[in-house]
Amino acid sequence: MKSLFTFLFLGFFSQAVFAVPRNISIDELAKQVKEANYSVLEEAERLYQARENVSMARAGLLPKLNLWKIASAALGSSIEPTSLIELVPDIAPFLVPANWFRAKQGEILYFAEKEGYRALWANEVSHAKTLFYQIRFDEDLLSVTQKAHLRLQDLERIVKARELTGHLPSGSTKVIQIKRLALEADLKSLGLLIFDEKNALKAFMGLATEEDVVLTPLERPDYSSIGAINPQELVLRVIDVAPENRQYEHFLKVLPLIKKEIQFSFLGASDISRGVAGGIFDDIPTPSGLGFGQSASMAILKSKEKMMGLQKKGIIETLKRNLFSSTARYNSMLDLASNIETRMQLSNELWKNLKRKLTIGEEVEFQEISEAAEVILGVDIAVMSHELEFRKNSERISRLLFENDYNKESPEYDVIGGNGDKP
Amino acid sequence: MNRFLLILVVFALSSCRESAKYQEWYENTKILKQELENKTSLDIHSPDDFLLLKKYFSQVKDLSVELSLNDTLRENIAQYLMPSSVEKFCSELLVNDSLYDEIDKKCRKNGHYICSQDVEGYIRFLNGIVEKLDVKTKEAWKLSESCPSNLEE
Repeated sequence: MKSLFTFLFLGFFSQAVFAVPRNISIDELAKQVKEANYSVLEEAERLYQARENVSMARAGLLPKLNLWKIASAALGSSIEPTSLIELVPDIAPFLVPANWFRAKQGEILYFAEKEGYRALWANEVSHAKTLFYQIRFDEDLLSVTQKAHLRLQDLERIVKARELTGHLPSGSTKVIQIKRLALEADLKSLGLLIFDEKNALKAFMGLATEEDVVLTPLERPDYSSIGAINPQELVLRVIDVAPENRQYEHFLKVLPLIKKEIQFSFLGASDISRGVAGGIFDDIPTPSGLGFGQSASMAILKSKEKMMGLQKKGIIETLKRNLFSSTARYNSMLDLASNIETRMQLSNELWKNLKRKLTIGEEVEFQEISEAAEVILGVDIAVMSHELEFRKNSERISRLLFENDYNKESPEYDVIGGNGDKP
Repeated sequence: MNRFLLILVVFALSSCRESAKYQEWYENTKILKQELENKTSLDIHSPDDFLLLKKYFSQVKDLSVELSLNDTLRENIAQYLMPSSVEKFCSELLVNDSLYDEIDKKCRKNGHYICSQDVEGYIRFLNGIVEKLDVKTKEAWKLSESCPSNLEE
């Protein structure tokens, strides 16, 4: 009975704990995505498989105790010398050169897989952070719209009084009322949008859908202390550090080994897998034994090399395009910072002035009231959009340069300091 | 007896191959270092200089990575890098503290690191090499004037 009570109490308590919203800051978000994002974890598993595959490939170089095969050859009615050659891949697989080349390929492809992991991890962090900024923008927009709604309620009251006293044409209140109702519908839609976006963010963070999250507000960037970026200064670094490009560098390192594998295929083909990243080379046929397919395999290999070279060039151009586009937008947002600041000041003055006029009962045109309400809301949204655009592009640049939250080093660095702790 | 001879031949061959690989690495690194030192003014933004820096520092990285991955090289490093040869190794192959500091300073601009990641990781690569040396060679490294001293403790 006592244990049942404890169980029920704990059940209730855990529900209560679950209901407490979780505060998430932008710094915690990056950490959480790195540790719990489903795609990142899945890719980490793939990486683990690639690592194990390298061990498997090395093990494949050791003799296999295929006793049944050996015994059947030894006990055969007539032992022919050629039947012993067939046993070489089992008894001494290290004597088959193709196996060595395959094992080496597996090692290089492990680094390629690791670069793939680095790219995916960075993309997930980048998407999650951009979504965080978007949600914060939408939440701010919600708050601004709520304020605008209150302003319209105020106006509606004042306009109604003035309409009754004949200071404003009849029907003025209805126009304000329509605008207020439209804003109420916008508030509902925004609420739903934020709800969906938060769910998407929870998925990025590997959190349960039921969990409630509260995003910590962001500090406004101090534009005066930030300098413009010259993309020409960064382009070489971006190409150098990009995992997408590095992955192709590893792929291109594998091609000479496949070439050797084909050249030595007359001594037997390898059945060792190239690993999870090796699928990209599965379309290159490797002849086995003394066949006539070697020249065709070589031609396919050459074509593959050409194709990969073109793909690498394409990746470099995409990286450059992204860098130039992001820095252009980033610099443009910096240029616009003072413009935005002035608009914000003017809008505040406009509202104060209008409110003062209305409070003291000064003559104000209805058109003026209606336009002012729209201008103020427009400026508020422009300020937030400017900030969002700046943050998004700043994030893209950090992702391209692999700095700040993306500061994950090249996979080769991981092995430094190890003692034969091979991939 | 025959088997023993065969094993001996295999080991000797693999050792020779390793030695040849090391020699090749040594010569390439030496050339790149000289090229780097002969540059009167290093322009980080020029593709040629960026590539030169990347090539040189990648060479240092390669030795560090190979020492961790390659058992044979790790076992044989004592033959290539002895207390008596440390001075020559450092003066011929490694950029000194002041040149590296100068390069590193140029690579940092407006809060961004604009050179290759391999330039950034130099100290780490050196640590990776030094920790694979025997005690006497490590001591010789510390006492040498040509060897970089800005290693992590």
